[in-house]
Amino acid sequence: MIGVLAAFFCAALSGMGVGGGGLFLIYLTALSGTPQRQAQLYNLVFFVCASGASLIYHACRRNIRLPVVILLASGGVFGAYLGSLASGAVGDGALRAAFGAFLVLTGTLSLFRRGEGKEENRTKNISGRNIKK
Amino acid sequence: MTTGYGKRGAAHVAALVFTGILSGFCSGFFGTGGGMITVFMLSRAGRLRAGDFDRRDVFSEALASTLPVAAFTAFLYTRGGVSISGAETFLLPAALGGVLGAFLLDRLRPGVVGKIFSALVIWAGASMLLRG
Repeated sequence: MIGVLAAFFCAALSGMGVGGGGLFLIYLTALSGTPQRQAQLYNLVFFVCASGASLIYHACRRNIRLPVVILLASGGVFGAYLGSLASGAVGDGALRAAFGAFLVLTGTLSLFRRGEGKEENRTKNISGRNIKK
Repeated sequence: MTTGYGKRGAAHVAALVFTGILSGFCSGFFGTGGGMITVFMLSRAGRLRAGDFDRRDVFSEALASTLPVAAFTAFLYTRGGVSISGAETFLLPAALGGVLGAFLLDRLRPGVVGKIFSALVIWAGASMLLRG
């Protein structure tokens, strides 16, 4: 039951753009005791469901440029292949330590990131897409 | 290819592909983090400063590009012998939570939530490092 609630709230955070995927992985490894690589697979499946569902909503309301997405994804597939090879080559302990260091780095970056958005200066037209005031 | 990230087309295409590789590597290695890297890199690509889009558009593009990469990575993990059994428990709550989060993104300012989340992530990362 706790796992279901954790998945729900982490997915909501993920849909809001505050990195709930990482939080769910923390729950799996630190609280539910799932082995690191197993937890990473669970988290990927979780992310596909959460982001797939929220993307349906975002696709109707945002300016998503397909060429940008295609370029990012094509590089991403190649990078993911390299990353999964590297992940399989190290032990669970080293992977866990590397993940800890990664969390400290990304957490620090996002904590001290200055506001970059233009949300305050925007409103929406009838179709829901963002337009400038 | 027109990417909307400036006039230096080839350089921006290369930067986007490099961002994808970096983000994909994190997804493949850590099982998470690709979206965070993509948002961070896109935010520095000049798009926001040009004022054409807001942060939520950048986030949506990162989400759209990370989704197929995450699915591909999950496939690689299962082929590598990691069992997917038990993941079905999280599918429905993840989908419902994802829609709720997307809905709330328009209605809440994620700034404070994001700061709390960042502090939590640093704490969790430090504890993982210390425990080894």
